[in-house]
Amino acid sequence: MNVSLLNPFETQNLPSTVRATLDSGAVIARFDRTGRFVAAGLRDGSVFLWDLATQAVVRNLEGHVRAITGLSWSRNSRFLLSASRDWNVVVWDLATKSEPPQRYCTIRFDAAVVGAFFHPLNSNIVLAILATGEAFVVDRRPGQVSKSDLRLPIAEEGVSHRVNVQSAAFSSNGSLIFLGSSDGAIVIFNCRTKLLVNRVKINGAGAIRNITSDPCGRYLATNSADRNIRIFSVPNLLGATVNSESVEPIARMMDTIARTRWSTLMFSGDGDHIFAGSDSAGSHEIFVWDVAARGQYLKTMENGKEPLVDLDWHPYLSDWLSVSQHGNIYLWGNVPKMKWSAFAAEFEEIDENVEYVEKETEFDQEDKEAAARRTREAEEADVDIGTAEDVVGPERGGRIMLGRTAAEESSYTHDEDRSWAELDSELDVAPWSFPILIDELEDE
Amino acid sequence: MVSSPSPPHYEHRFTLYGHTQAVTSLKFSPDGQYLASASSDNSIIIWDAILGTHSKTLQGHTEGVNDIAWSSDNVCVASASDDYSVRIWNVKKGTLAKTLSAHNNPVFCVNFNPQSNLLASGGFDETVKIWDVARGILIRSISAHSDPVTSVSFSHDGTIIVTSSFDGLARIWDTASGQCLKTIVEPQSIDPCANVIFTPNARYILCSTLDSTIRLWDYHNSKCVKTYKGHKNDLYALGACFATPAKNRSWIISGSEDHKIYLWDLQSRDVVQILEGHTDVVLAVATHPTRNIIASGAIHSDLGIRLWFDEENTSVKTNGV
Repeated sequence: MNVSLLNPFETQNLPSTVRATLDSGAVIARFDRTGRFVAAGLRDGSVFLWDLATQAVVRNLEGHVRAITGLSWSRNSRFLLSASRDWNVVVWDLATKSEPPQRYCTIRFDAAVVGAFFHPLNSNIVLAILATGEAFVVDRRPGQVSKSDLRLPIAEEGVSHRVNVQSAAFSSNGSLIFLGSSDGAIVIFNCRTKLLVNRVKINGAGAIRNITSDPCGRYLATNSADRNIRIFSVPNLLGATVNSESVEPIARMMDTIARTRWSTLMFSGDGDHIFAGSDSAGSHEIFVWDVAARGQYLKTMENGKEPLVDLDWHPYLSDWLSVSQHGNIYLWGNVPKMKWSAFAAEFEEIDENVEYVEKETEFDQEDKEAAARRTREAEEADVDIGTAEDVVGPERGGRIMLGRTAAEESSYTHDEDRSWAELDSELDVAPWSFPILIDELEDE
Repeated sequence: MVSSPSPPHYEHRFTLYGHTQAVTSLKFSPDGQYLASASSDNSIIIWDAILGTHSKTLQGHTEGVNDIAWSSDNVCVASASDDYSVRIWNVKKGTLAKTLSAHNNPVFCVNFNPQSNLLASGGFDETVKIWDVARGILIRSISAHSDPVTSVSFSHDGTIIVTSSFDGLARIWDTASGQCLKTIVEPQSIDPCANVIFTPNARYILCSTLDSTIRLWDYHNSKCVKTYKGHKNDLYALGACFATPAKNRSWIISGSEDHKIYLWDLQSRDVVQILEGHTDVVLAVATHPTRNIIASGAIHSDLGIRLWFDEENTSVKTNGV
């Protein structure tokens, strides 16, 4: 509701400054889908949930004994997934009141987990990549329980049967899985059938350290060992011949001067921008490019000298978070300028002096009766006070009601992949509320 | 114009006795199970909303209680008191959970945000204070007005706050930054503003002023879109509220200093029913979240909280305390 009253230049412009710092000891942090929480994973395996309205820790999720390597929020923010080097992926249900919080489920693997993601539509489907270079799709739905290893068809000649996976991402609607391999290939699997869709080699890229898909399903971005960020059009990747090396990125970005290595890579909530953090000792820098303008460089933001380890973009605002090696989470945004005219109903802010021209009728006595009649007539028009249910938004009446986002809608197709993914996903679309736990006084 | 809907038929069913001084605020719990009442006798009483039976009495304030609010999970009630404190009570256990002290004058109004992680309070120190509910600490203090703050409430999504004050203004604030976004004032009037609430969709605000007028404002355009008159209100901070018994059929309900309760049709602005029975100024009114029930409370000589029903079903006949 506040958006319509705020200065649009402050809400849409790229962040200009660090607004707040959460001292958390984190190595990874993620905004939830409503923008209300930040989940922070620590090197010692704990996960803290921060409430941004109060800037306080509201849950301490203890379930791991080694460093957290991945965090992922479910479709309606009710479930949080944490992946750790202790070989486990733990799912937390935030709608429960138990204190300390109990794990909702645990998925065990045979090696350290280096990244894990919820399927965008169904929190029962989890994609995990292991330190051994393997990628698994775990399905926990009754009747479909499975742990599938994503591997190349045996019939392939001259190619190893296993992809040495360095990075992974779901497409925005979850139907495809993109894997970035150590030999510089993008390998695409269908999430439902677990079959290979395509494999494309990027010329001269080297190992693909990060891979990320934009929220509208149009683009895929990679960060590879050659210090280049490449943006590919997804249809181009799907349409290319198998094992081809000729797919050209629509944009290719690098820091030509410092030849910065990129630590992480992320699209903005609307998919219009892409940003990356520099992986250099002694600087905390974030680079931003415009995706629509084919990767035009926009700006670099700096904040001190603590090396940057992780980044995330707010789901709908132009706000960021960045995590430093010292464990601080910096919340970036625009500091609202005091709007003095808001304090008086008749005031208006103007940029330069305007000569006041007296209106012809300014001091005319208005006929009282006519004025009263005019007001009466003006008030005849019906008003709609509605109910909170009529209004759309991520939250209303304290309940989180994330429906389909516009981006999801645009990629919506009634295909088999989608109906398969939405099976048993009731908890991911049902409204829920986050219980507030008050640490109560024993007595006065 | 839509054809005018059938008028309401609220009838007095129960009178709830328990308070020994004026009833200052009444609130139904969001699930509609309970009614909470605050009183100048320092206590808060929780009643069964449908049967009118006494459930719990919460005692601890050392001065009169001015306002109460429910958290959206129906577990907590927050209270604002003349003893300068705001308290959060666990209603399920009947215990005091937090005492929030930072106001340096009587606290007059209090409300949870819909997420119930924040609490806003306002009072005679002319500030609005935002509290972290879980930790019970002050997050932000806003010098909001130049006279006592009479009401504070959040929009349904919690992103904006509206406040009213004896300085005659209603102001809209950004929850996240504490920034003033808008000031609403009736140009011809300097009368104190007694109460303000958002409409359920938060597109308008309903503002009661001490010139015996209630106005519905389109705050985006600073335009008064409806005016409701007929009751008497020039001294007390009387609250008004909405009832929406059916789609496209809403009433505005307010107490009055002539001891009656007035119901207006939202669209036509006509008085559609007057409830008589109280014998003193009706200070507090509240509407049930799902059923057609009005609760009302008065000051001084009339200590009975009245429940008014507009329902065919009259089989339930129990009275409490």
